[in-house]
Amino acid sequence: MNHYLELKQSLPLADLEQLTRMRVCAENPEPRQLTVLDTVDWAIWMSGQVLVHVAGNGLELYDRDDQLSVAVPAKRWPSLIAQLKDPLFSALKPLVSVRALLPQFNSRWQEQPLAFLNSDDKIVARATLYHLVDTTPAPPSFLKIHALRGYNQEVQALVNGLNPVTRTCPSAITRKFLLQRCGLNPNPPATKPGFHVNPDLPTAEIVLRMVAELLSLARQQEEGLIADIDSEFTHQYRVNLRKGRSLLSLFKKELTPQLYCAIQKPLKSMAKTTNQLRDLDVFLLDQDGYRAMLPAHFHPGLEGLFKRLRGRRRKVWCKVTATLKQEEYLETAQQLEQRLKEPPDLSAPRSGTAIKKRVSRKILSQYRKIKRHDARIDATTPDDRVHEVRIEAKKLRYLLELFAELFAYDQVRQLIKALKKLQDNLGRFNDYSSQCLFLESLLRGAGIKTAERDAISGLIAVLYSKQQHERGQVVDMIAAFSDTEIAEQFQKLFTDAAAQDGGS
Amino acid sequence: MKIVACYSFKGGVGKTAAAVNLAYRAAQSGQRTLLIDLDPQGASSFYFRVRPEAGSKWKKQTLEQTDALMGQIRESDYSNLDLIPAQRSLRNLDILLKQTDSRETVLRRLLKKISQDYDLILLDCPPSVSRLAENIFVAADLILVPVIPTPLSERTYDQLVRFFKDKDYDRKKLLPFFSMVDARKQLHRDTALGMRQRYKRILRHAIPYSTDVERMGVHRAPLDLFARGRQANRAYLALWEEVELQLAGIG
Repeated sequence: MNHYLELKQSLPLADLEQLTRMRVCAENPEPRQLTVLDTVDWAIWMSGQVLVHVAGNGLELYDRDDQLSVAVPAKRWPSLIAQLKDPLFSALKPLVSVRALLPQFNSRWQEQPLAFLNSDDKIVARATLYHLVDTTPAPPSFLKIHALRGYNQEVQALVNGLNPVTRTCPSAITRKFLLQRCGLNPNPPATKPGFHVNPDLPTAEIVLRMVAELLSLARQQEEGLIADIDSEFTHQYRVNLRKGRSLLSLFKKELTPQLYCAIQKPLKSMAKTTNQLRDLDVFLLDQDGYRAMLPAHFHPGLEGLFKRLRGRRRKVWCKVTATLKQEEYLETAQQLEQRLKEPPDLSAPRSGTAIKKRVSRKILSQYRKIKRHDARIDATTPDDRVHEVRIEAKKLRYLLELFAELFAYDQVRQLIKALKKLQDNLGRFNDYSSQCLFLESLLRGAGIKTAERDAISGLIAVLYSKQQHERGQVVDMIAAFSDTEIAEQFQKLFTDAAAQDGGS
Repeated sequence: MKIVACYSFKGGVGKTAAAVNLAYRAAQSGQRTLLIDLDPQGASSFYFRVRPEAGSKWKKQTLEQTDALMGQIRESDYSNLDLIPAQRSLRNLDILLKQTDSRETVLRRLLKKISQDYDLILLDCPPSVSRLAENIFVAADLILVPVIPTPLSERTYDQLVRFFKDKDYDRKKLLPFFSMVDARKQLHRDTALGMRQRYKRILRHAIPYSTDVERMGVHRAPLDLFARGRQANRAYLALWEEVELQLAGIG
C-alpha cells in the first residue's frame, strides 16, 4: 500500500523521526538533472510514458505505471531514434516513428530513499522523499511511502504522525506528477484539423474555412522545416497543402472561377517549393530498406549514393529554407490567409447548397468514378490509367476523412478501412514507380561512379519487380472495393443526404 | 512452486540457521521466497526482526485458513523474501490438523493455495514428531535434514529414515547435510565418512561450526549481511546451489 504526501514545510530527518516515533534511515544522493525528451507533438508523453535523460546517468523510459522500463547509459541523446539500439529503439519506434527527439523540458530534483524502522529495527516502510529544486516560490517536497506487506497498521500510524506537517497529494507521486509540479505543461500542437462543420451551412463557406485551417496547419510546420528538426515537418506541410488543394479541386464548381484561381494558384506554388526535398527525404528515410534489397557487395556503391544524396538534400533544404523566409513567399501566404478570411462569394451556381448534401453527392460520384475503372482496367491497361485511379481514390479518402463528422462515424470508418486496402496497393505501386523514375534521373547525372551506377541499376531492377507485383494485384483490389456490399454501404450512408431538398 | 522443509527430530542442529540463510540465498537468486516459521520458539522470526504472532490465527475452514495465512505474511527487509512469523499457540494448529479427516494433506493443500505468489516456500520446522510433522513430510518436495556428524545425530537420522519407511513416506524427499562440522575432530570426520557410505543422498557441501552463525542472534540478520567473506556464509551459498539443482530435478 502506498501513501502520497506533500510536505507543508522542509523537514529535517530528526523531525521525521520524532513525528513518526520511528528510526529513519536515509541516503543522501545528489539532485538529478533531468531533460524530458519528446517529439514536437509530445507523442511519448501523450502515450502515458516519459523519456528522460538524466545527467551522468543516461536515458530512462518510464511506463504508464511510472516503472522504469528501459535504462540506457548515454552522455547525450540522439536526435533520431534510428541511432538508438534495442530495447529502447523498439519501445520508442511505434510512438516516435521518424520524428526527432527534442529536449522539451529541464528539471532538477533530489530523490532521497528512506526506510522507516520500528522498535525491533525492522523496516516497516520504504519511502522516497522528493525535493524539487529550481521551483518557485519555495521548492516543495513530496513523500511517497510504501508499506511493506503485513505492516499497514504501523505505517498508517506513521502517516497519522505526519499529519501536522503534510497534506495528501491529489494523485500518485509519479515522474509526470513531479515534472508538472516543476512547471511542465505539455501543449501538443494540433496535428489534425477540427472543423466542427455545420451540415446546413453553404458549401463555399465551409470549403474556404476548411482550406484556411489546412493552410494554417501547413504553415505551423514551417518553423520545424526551417530548423530541419525532422522530415515529418516537410511531410505534414505538404499533406495539409495537398488536402487543401484537393478540397478546392473537388468543389471547384461551387466557387467562382476567380476565387478558385486566387486560392489554388498560390497553394500549388507553395507545395511545389518542397517537391524535391520530399523526394530526397523519402529516399533517405528508407536507407535500411534499400540496403536489404541488394547483396552486400553492392553496399559500398549504395553508401556512396546515400552520401551524395544527403549532400544534395542539404543544398535543397537550404534553398527551401531561403524560399520560406523570402518576402515574396510570406506575402503570398499572408495574402492567401487574408483572402480565405473574407466573406465567401456565393455567386457560383452551387455555392449556397448545404455542405452535407454537396459532400454526399461528391462522395457518391467519386465512388462511382472508381467503380467505373473496375470495368476498364485489366492487366494490360497502361500505368497512367492506374495512377488516375490512385488520384481518384485519394480524393475519395479526403472527402471521407475531412467530412466524417457529418455522417455516422463508425460506418465511415468501415468504408475508409476498405478504401485503405486499395490505396495501400496503389500507393506502393506509385511509390515504386516514382522511386524508379527518381533513380533513373540519378543515372543520367554526370560524374557518377561505377559502383554507384551498379547499385542504382540493382535498385531499379528490384523496385521494378516490386512494382510489377503490386500491379498484378491492382485489378483484384479495385474489384474488391467495387463489390456489391461496399457499394450498398456507400448508397445507404450517402444517398439520403444527397437527395435532401434544397439547391441542386 | 516448490516446498522445502528444514526438519530434524533433534534440536540445536542448525536447522533454523539453515532455513534463514537458505531462504535469503533463494531470494537473492531471484526466487520469490516465503519462509514459514513453524517453530513456536520463533527463532527465524527473531533473526528477521519480525515479532511472533500472539494467539491462534488458524481457522477450521480451508478458505478461512488461506485468508488467515495470507494475512500473516510479513515482507522482510530483503527483496523477494517474505515471512510468516511463528505463532505462540502453534498447539492450535496441531489440534486443528488432528481434527481434520484428510490427515496429512491439509498443510499441502493450504500451501498450494498461496503458491501463486511464490516460487519457493521454506518451512522452518519444530523438532518434534507430531501431526504437524507428518503434514510437513507430505507437503514438502524436499526435506533438508541437518545432521551433526556425531553418533547421536546419526542415530536420530536413522530413526527418521526408519519412521519414513514404517509410515511409507517418500524417503527420496530426505536430503541430509552435515551441519556444525568441526573438521579438526576425528569423530566428526569418521562419522561423516561412515554416513556418506550408508546414505548416498547426503549433500556434498557441509556447514562448518562457526561463531559467525551464533552471532546471527546478535546481528539479527542472515550471515551474508555481516559475514560475507566468511567460511560459513560461503558454505550456505554452496549448499543452496546444491539444493537448487535438486529442486530443478523435481518436475
